[in-house]
Amino acid sequence: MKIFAKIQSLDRRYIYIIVALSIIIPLLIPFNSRIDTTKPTEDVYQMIDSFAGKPNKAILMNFSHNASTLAELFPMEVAVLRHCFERDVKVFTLCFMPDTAPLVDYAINTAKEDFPNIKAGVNYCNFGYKPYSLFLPILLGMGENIAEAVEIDSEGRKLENLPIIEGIKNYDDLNLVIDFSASSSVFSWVTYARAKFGANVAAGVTAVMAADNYPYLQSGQLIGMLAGIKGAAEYEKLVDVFATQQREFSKEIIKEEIVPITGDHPIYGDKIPYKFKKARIGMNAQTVAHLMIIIFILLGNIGYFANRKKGGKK
Amino acid sequence: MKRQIPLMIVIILGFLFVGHTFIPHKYSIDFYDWFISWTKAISPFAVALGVMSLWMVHGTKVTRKAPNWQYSLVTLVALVFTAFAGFMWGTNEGTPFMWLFKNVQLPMSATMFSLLAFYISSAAYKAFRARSPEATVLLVAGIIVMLGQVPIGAMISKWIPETATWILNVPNLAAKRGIMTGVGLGMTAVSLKILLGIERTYLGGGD
Amino acid sequence: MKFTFLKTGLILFLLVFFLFPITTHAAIDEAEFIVQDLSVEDVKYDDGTGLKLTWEPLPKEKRIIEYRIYRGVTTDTLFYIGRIDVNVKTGVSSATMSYFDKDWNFFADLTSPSKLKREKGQSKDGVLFQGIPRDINVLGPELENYTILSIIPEKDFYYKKEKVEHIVENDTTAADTTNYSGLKLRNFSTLLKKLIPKKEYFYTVVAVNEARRYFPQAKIVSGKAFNDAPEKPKKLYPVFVEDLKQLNFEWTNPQKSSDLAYFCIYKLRKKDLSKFQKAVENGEDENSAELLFVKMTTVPNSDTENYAIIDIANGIIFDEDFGIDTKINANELDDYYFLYSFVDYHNQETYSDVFEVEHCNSDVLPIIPAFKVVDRIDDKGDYNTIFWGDPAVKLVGSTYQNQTKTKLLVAYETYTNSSKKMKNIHFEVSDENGEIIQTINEFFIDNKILVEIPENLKKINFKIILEGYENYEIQQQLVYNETTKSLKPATAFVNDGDLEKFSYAVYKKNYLDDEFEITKKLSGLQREYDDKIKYEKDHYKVPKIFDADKKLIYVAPSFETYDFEGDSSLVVNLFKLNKKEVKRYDKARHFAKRSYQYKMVVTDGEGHFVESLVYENEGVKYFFPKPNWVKRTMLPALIAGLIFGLLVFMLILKAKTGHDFYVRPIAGIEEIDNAIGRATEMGKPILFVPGFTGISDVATLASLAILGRVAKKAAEYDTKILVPIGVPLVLPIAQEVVKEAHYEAGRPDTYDKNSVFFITTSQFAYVAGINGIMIREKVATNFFMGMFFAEALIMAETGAATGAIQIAGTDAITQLPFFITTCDYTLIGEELYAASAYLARNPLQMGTLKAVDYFKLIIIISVVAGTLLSTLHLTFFINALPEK
Repeated sequence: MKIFAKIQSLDRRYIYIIVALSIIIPLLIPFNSRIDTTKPTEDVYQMIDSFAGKPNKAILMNFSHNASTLAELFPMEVAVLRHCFERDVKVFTLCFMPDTAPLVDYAINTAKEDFPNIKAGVNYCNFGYKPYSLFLPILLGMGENIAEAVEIDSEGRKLENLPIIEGIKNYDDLNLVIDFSASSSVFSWVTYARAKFGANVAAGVTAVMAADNYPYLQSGQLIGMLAGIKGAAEYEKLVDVFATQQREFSKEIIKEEIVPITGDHPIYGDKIPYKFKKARIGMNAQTVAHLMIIIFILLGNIGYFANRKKGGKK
Repeated sequence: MKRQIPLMIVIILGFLFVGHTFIPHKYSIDFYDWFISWTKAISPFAVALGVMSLWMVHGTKVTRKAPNWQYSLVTLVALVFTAFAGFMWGTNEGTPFMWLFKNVQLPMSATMFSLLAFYISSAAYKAFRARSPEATVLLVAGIIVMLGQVPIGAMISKWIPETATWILNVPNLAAKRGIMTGVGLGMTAVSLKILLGIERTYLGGGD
Repeated sequence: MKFTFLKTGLILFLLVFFLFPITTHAAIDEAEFIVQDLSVEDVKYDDGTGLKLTWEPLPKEKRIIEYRIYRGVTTDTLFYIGRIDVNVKTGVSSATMSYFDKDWNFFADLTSPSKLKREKGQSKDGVLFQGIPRDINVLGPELENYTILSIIPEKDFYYKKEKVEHIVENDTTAADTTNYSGLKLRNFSTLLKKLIPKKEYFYTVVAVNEARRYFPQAKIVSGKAFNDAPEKPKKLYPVFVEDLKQLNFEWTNPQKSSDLAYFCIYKLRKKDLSKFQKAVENGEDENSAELLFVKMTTVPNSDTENYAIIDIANGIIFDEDFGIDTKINANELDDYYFLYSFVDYHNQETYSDVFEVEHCNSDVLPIIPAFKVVDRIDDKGDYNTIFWGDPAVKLVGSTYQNQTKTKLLVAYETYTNSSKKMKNIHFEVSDENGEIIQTINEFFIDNKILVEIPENLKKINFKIILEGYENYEIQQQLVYNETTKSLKPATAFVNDGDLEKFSYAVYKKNYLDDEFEITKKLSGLQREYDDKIKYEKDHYKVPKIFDADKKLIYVAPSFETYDFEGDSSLVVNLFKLNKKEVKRYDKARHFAKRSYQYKMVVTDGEGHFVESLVYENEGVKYFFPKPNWVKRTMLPALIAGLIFGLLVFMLILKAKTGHDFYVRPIAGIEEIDNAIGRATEMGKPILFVPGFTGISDVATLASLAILGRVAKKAAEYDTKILVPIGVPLVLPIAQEVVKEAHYEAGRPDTYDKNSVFFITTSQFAYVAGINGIMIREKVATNFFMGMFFAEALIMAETGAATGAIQIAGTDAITQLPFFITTCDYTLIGEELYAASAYLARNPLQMGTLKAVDYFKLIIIISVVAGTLLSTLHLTFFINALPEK
């Protein structure tokens, strides 16, 4: 019974090393696993997809996180951008934190590499970094005229001269704002853009913050949400199954379809570049890590009960 | 007097801003916007204060060769050099400042954040013990939610993700809303105490 | 050993900081970095104010980060006007890059350089300069090289002016050409510019690489902009409504705003087509098309009305203003083609293709719904609301809920406006044969219904009836789609008409406008539109003259306003008015510019449309949005606030009379003393972390209140307290709080200013700093009070590992579980706010604390009552409370 006592007083560093390994190994050796999409993710996907090919509809991606949460939010951003590029949806990107500006470029460039025909100012437009003091003026100003409120894009071009802005005037056209953040910044969009101008607002958040957003999801103030690496993995799958096949969303298809990330498959095969399955590989790591933690919890409990049975009351 | 005047300012402006919430008139909004624009002017001074504080704390340590003074030196050198790089070459893409940001600040932040994974697992290991019936409920709910978040949960049984969602959306949300209501009320109470001058610790000193 | 470790660390650190990627400055051949093939061309279809620059981007290997563009009117002085950023990693994929210098764009403002400055990398005789400076000696002479539009805030325009005498001949922009308003540069909020047609402008481009090195400029090139003929009009829909004997025309407006003056509609005999085409091709002035209709444009051109109705009952079309006098016979319409054209202010005209007339009867035309215009309530006075029609419901999607596909979740959307309340919705679900499967009565509109259907149903009919709207029925089908393997909504019909076929276009016009302009085209489902009416705060003037000695720029002292007695617009001169009159005319100007008439057009976009009359309510035609003093939606909050205030007041009174309230003991608060005591016993410091939010967060204020009490106790016990700060603004306040606590404890000598110190605003660097302090200083007690984010667990777990006693308090719900598992005591949510009152225990604090309890009781009662009432389908209580 010594072993149980030992488990009870296990040095936390052993836990750390095992957790580290259970994260690193699945990242290095990807394996196929089943991803089931959830409604908040599907809602975001469907909303974006409904804008496909419409020159008078666009989405806005607001990046409000810094590099520390890149691991969770970056695959989401890339997946959403990829969706837009695949389905010809106009995208605008924006950030109000100086450290975020490079991340926006990074996401756009990563997604763009595989789409030679996608052009800045035509298919997407990066508004770039705007000082935080302009947050409200821009957010509210876009309710009337985006070109006036934002003025210039990250490349210093007048927005009104860009082809992308044709047909896009305010939130009536820019009908979905997705805020990617590790905080509750999405509520500024809900309070101002949604309440005042009726813009649809969705969130892409880290898993920890997701719980905060559920009430707003239920009340419909958020039309959808991508939560953590799981949301990103789901979105990646949706893009693979529908957008890349130029199909319309169907709950019935997604339920049954399994997209392998390794090995052969008639449709997907090895064709999915690493960057577009990053979240799913991350999801593998998360699965193993969760299992590991559950095993630890169980071990801890076994040790606890064994100790108690022995009469070792403390 | 030293205390009365600031208190008067707090009370008058406080009630003006409470009024702003209920008055949509142009005068009210213009006043608010005008006033808020002044807050921008305050923050640079506060940053200067912060940097001064940092400098004093670590400067003293270095000059007195207090234990671990070497760390303080590193802090000061980093502070001076980063600021220097920013002022000297600007903060655009391609400058030393940006290089520092990308290669020092970003990876270090990410490292600290990733520590969370390890800490969560050790915290979970310690916390989830079936010591009492309540703790057992917590344990079971915790395991279901954890399984529900990853594909393996759905592979075991399709009820696991659904139960996980239910736990998050019903009991969890109910508890949260309860806490949120309390927090909202608590905030109102503290704000009211400040507005009425009952709570003045923030002015320095107690009652 | 330790020291060597530190030494290594230091060396590593220095390496990191000083080994930047050294871009070899010396070994570069600058000539390779000069932009090649720069050319300037005129922008097509414009008013002669646009030029387009194109050049070949440098190869990716050159690691170019931006291209900077310079413009001037001579080759020896070119100013920076804009830049194009390039991603170093990806480079530029296209073969050419371009920059448009057109329309009104930035010329100068407060952010411009204060004096003439050479651009970086330019030698002493270099020709490139940073932006046009705010220096009147440089900026002034530039005024004549461009058309400048200045934006002047009203107050500056009215009161900061200086009267100057100056005579300009033929200045049509001024009412009085002898006196001008002289304004200082700082009185202008912005100056915008347009190029002058046919004037020569010079351009060059500079490449900047990753190391921000500016390379020599490209060969300077020049170009002139010309006024071109308008773009070719796209599509015209001529429709003859036979029973009304009227010709309806609808067309596509130009994409971009240019200098268009008119849109014209012509008829052309079919046999004359080739003759007409030849005449147009040869640019002849005369051709065989006969003018039927002229529409004056608005600015921007794209907002002009895009339809016309011509009554041809008597066969004659006559309009004296435009010199139209022609005959048209309803029976001969098919012998004609119809076409339209855009005409600009230089009388250049571009014709569209020709189109044949379509015949129809008025029964295919839409019906104009009754619509209303009101000043929107509860606002700043910047919206008018237009609403119309009956509510609409539309199915938008469906999902099977089970394997056998017998349970179907159908999503629907509702569309209504503030004047039409939506009550219950009845759905009648039937199968292909019309047999009713289920009827559903929605009491609570949650945008989804659950339908049980037989297996393998490929088509489902929905009949939707809205309670309170008789004879109004929406029908829609769900049809099985093979590719998506699900039931998809088909077109929705309302009383047999397509629900979405026609869209609503709202037009408006104020006192000073000549023509109506569109405010918004809304889909057939919309029932309401909030029309934003901006507050006017600027005057727009075209300055041409300056005075370098007085440092003034001259603008015309006149502005347009409206004479409500004479019912006409008028231009007034500032120098002929006294202060009172300026105020009066300014008020009239605001009223005239912000009062609008409205009309509505319902159209399918292809010539089948109906135009409403201008909306009139009890003789009022113009609607002016007034600002409101009370936000009615906030009334419940106000009432709740007042009740709470009253409770506080009453309970404080009661507490003052000596009533001892019972308060629930909170372990975390009671342990604070012991925790401080423990640190004292061990001779170790206390760490107090006041959260990571600013001073405007109430949690931080509550935290500082607790800090005051903790610091006082610590001072009494003579124990050191460390307070690391992450938000600069909190620092001086926290210092003051701790200082005052020491004074109160009678130990001012032990106060050390450096014990309350700033670390950094970067979240994770902050927590790294705190962790370091915990480990190095071996603190015995940790307090985490306030708002925390992801750093919470990292901090608290490290604290737990060092074996310190930890008391946390936060309202960050997501972080609570972490604190509960790692800390000895945790104050949950409101307990954080109550802590200060618990510790103070004076009547004022206890009164408020108790008021919170009673108010909570009221909330609980409301929640229970609301739940019960809603369950019984009584929604008045819920509806009385605001949603947001």
